[in-house]
Amino acid sequence: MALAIFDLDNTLIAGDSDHAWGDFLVEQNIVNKDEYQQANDKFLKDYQSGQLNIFEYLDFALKPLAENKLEDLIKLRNTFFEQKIAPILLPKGFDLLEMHRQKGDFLLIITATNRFVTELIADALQVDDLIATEPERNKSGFTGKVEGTPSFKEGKIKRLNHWLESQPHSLEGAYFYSDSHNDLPLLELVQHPVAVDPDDILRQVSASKQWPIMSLRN
Amino acid sequence: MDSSIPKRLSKRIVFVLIIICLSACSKETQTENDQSSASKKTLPAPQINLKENKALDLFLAKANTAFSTLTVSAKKLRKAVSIFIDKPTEQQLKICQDELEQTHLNYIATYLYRNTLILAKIEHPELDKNRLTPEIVHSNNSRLDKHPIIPGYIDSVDGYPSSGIIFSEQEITINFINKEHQFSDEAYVTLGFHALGYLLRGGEKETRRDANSFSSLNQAKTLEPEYRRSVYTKLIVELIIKDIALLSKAWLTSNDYYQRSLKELSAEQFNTLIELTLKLEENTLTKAGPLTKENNHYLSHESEQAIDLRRSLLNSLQTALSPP
Repeated sequence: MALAIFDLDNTLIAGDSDHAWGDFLVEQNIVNKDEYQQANDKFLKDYQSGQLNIFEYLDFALKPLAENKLEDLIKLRNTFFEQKIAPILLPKGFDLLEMHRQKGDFLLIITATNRFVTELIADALQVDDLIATEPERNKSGFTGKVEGTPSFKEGKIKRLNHWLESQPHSLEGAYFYSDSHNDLPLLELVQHPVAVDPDDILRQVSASKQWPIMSLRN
Repeated sequence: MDSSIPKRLSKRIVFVLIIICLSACSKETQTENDQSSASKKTLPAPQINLKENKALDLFLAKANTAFSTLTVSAKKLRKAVSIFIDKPTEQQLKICQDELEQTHLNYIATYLYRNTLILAKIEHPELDKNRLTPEIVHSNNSRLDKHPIIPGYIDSVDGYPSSGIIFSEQEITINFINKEHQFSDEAYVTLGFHALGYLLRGGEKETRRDANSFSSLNQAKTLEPEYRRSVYTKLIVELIIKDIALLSKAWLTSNDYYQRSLKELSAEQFNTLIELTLKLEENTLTKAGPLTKENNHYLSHESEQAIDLRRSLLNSLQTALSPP
């Protein structure tokens, strides 16, 4: 039984759930449209170019969680999942997960997007566990800060190693599927790195290292 | 793969089309005023876009959304129940009841997809067959959503405070409730949404449930009904989650039985099938009667909420499958 690790955004789903959540908050008038949209788009570009300052981004992205009641956020998230996420779950993603499930592999999603946004998506994909950036919580709800290391770039390795300490699994024979060059550190680490609908940089790296490249899009 | 599906389907479609025509003729004899105002909101049946033949892709994409949403709400139900039977409180009981209602609605939201398979006589070899030997296996639909139920078979009812499995001496296990399900009568239901609904809600009067009707499973095992009710609730939810996971997997995975069978149909066969499915649902919703005490209850398939949901799903599929 091997670990089958999957990035989430633009890998198993046809879009970026973090960015989509921001757009959804704008749509629902939860945040100031002009300011938020502009910043959200800028952070996405930074991410795509590999220039994202994750802490600056999380200060921005987690703020609405602190500014709204938990019960309201949960209702919003349900609607967000049904309207924005369910339609972009990739059928071939389900097939890929099922292929590993049939092999008896342990299915793990590791994503830089925060757990509040991603836990329902992981539920829908029926994976065994999820490592996500953790928004800090107190008794009344979210604080707007991040707890521990964000699972981004090298942070994915740190969080994965920490997770492995409490698990009967190891990285021996592990797979990692991702679309982004931001995931190169973890792709380099596993025995079976796979580029899924990769960005330009990851496509080049994958070609040079003879990593498999696949598509989950129709 | 069963190569006779298309032949069987053709016969079935002809038969059901005749039924629809007869039904439509009968409907025309009624005055417009007889039709519920809600039925007028339903869009006319679409002319499926044969030219591009994207109907199956669209249908599967919509099904993908419906079954993913169902999976998510089932997991939320499990989480809510897990917290509740760990430490029963009034607030958490209400959350469990609400999550069950939402999961059941999300199951209803998959009705059009499931019914398409029934019309095509596509039966999953593991999910849709009843089997008695070597072990009892109920079909997935029968396990998940069987109703009406005889509540006294499960638990106390108003006027009969010590009835049902909860007050029996049998140990409550998954095997036991599975064997008892529909034992000797269809309405002897021990599995699924409606049985769980009765455990969580009870009757209207002295058997209405509150947090004290359950006890924490963290304490030592007892024979008290409160403890047995918590055990039963935990097990029945486990089975619901398992069944929803199986059902969703069969729909969401392209090499599983349902998708493979649908893809074996020709474009023309599929388009005829989907038109038929939509027409049948439209007819059913047109005939939906007024709300009464009998149909507007917890987990009813004919409540205002359920009918509105079905109507909205029908409209959504009709719109998606209509030519641009």
